Amino acid sequence: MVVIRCDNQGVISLTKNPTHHAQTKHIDVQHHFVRERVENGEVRFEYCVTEHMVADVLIKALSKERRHKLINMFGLETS
Amino acid sequence: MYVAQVGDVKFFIVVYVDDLILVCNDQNKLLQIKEELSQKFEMKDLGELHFFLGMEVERSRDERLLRINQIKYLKEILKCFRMEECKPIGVLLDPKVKLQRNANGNDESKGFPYQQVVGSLMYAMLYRQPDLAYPISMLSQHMANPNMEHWMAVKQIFRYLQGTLQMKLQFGATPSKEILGYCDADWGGDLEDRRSTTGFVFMIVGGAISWSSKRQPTIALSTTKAEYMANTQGTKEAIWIQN
Repeated sequence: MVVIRCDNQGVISLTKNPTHHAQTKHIDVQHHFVRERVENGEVRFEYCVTEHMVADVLIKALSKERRHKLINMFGLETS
Repeated sequence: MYVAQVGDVKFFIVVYVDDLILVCNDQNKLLQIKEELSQKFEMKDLGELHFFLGMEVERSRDERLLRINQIKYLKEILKCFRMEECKPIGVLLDPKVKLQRNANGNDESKGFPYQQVVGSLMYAMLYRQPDLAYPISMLSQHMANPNMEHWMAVKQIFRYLQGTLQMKLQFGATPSKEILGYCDADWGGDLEDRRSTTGFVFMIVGGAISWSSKRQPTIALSTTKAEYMANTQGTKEAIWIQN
């Protein structure tokens, strides 16, 4: 079981909830793929506040302080 | 890589051309395998792992920590591109600058070794520096037609590296052996075609083991869709790691 943290509550409920949403009709194949894995217990999604979202480093340019804080969280040590 | 398991004893052999790393949780078994291998092949025992493919490995058994650095490799590339005396800077990628396609087709950066530089940095990114993944992915999108702006961004990365030469990727700070992943997406981050970017990182015992920053192949019409696509990528990676 791998835990994946994600900062979007809506997505997390989609991974758990088998009901069909009209708003998400187009999110089909990927939707079922992820839900199947969650059902099989291979992965689990957890909510994480944006402030602690380590993956932010990988999608945008950040200020010095924020980047420093986040990269420390995944084991990059400056000293 | 070869893996063997007999009872509680696990054995890993990593081969890269003519270099071998042997890993085993039983010291006696390790010595025995080493003995057997050296009878079959002509080989030299260099003792505990220190240097492999440009990575330097430090191990502190008292603190139960393992650290990977690339000081040697980074110094080499800084020297190679004559940036060894540049002034260090803290900002890796200026949040205000949006790198765009070189639209007017001017070959301003002719003669700059742009491709070589980005390639060398990519190697550093793959082994130790998850923080470089995003800038490198941005810069590699302009490999064919870079302009002055891209070149300045490259130089800024060099200055950042100059300031963070000693940075180490550290494992063992948290005892939990569970794999923990983080997954996120921006939405429409690419100013030209509005495609979003997926970013994920997976960690074990407090250190990053797998990371990626990649532009999504499909345009997402909502943030939820963008995040969902990111989570699909993350799930695929998680399944791969588990197997």
